[in-house]
Amino acid sequence: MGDGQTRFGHIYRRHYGDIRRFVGRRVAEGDVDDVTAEVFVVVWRRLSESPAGDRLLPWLYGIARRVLSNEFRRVRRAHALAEHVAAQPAEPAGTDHAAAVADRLAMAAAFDRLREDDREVLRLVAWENLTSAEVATVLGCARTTAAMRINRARRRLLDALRRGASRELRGGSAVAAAEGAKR
Amino acid sequence: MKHTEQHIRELMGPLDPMRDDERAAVPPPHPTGIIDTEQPAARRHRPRARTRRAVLAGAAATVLVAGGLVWTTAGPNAPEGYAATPPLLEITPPQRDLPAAERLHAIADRAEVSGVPKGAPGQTEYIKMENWYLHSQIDNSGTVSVIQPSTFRLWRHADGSGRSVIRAQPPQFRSEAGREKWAGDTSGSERVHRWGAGERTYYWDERPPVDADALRRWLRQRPSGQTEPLRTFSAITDLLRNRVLLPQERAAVLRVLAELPGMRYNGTTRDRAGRPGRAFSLESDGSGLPTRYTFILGPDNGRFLGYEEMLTTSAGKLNVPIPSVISYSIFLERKFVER
Repeated sequence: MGDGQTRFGHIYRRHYGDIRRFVGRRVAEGDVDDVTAEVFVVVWRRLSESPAGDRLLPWLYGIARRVLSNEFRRVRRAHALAEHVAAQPAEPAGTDHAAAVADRLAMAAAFDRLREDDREVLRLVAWENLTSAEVATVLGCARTTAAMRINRARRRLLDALRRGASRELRGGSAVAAAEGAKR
Repeated sequence: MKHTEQHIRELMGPLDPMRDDERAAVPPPHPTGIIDTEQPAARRHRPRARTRRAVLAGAAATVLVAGGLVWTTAGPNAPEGYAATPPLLEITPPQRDLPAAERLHAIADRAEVSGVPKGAPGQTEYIKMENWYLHSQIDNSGTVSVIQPSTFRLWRHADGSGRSVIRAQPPQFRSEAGREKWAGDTSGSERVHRWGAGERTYYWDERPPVDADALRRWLRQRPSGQTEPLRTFSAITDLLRNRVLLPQERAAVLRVLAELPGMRYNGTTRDRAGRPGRAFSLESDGSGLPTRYTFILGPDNGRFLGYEEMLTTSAGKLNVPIPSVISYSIFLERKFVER
């Protein structure tokens, strides 16, 4: 087995789940496996460019983003986040269950109201767990630009939450929680 | 900047639509089915749909072969005469020396409010596991070891009835001589067990207690020839193999683990399905040889991803190097489903 296959096997085994989750957050369920496979086609083609260590995963996410941008005309996009949250089965009842669901729905609705570039930054930080430096690698921009975009996306999320809360929430519990976490 | 990132994670993390995705696990490599390692024909321009299918097969083949080498050739580093065993977990030690108990209690607190798995008692519990064992037969002429991988699936209905399916792959031998010497079935098999309500009370009809002290007593009700802390550790693995735990129940199990004497936190790792996790272990020679028993937990919600056994200082008459993993189990799915 060649070095290339060995390295590809290592990358595939170690990061298949990361890439599949990345794709699954952005496209409809039925297209996730196909797009994930497409990402690894490109990874195989560009294996000689793959960086080592901590830079590998952001590099893979960068490839996945480019594959998705090519595929978005063909594949179905993921449901709106609020739709996904609302579709979750009921959890075992707790005293604060209804309030918690309302908070999550409010947050998801606020997320859905943002522009796609803000949503993408939030996904990368919150769900792919990337630092600003890694976000810069994925987006192909400078670190300072990435940091600015992260700050801006958070501010817009909170603004969207406030606007939603003024219309929808009684008592603004989601906003209070968000502001509490901010302090 | 870190504060901003952390704040975003706190706000958005719980909404991750892929948070509970189990299928993201790459199946662990199996020794059977070694297939041609045709490279993905990426440089040739095939129609797109065909290319996708090709890379899935190609990638899987590469992974299978990469893992298959471990035992089909006894591993690149396994000395001649040794049975092949899986690579040791790659564990990154913690930077802060927090006691395991403190970490486990913190994970238990998160597990309790995680909302994972969804569902509730009254639904069918479904578990899918991949298991890997080193089986050895020892006599005066030496030791023959085989690798035995299997898939275990279990459906347990609310009334206690259910079924399990164990698909065992053919045992893997290092040599034809070993195969001829082996006293046992050398073919693969699929065994299906069905049972009615009340027929398997050994595996607990009632839900586990959610109070840690009550749970500890409840686990010790099981007959066992083992001494503590291995007795409780083994009762927990039995419980995990047979029941899907609610978040509060899983939290109680983690709190029981936290108080087991000798429990240590090893660090962060990835399980054998490639999922990130935290490794906690204890060591015991209660089974005859000094062994490290390790649980791998999901870092955020304390899901049990798997557990394994590793010989640490002596292999006895087993023909394995030291240290060696001699068994592992990974939970690929644990959830409530409609009957």
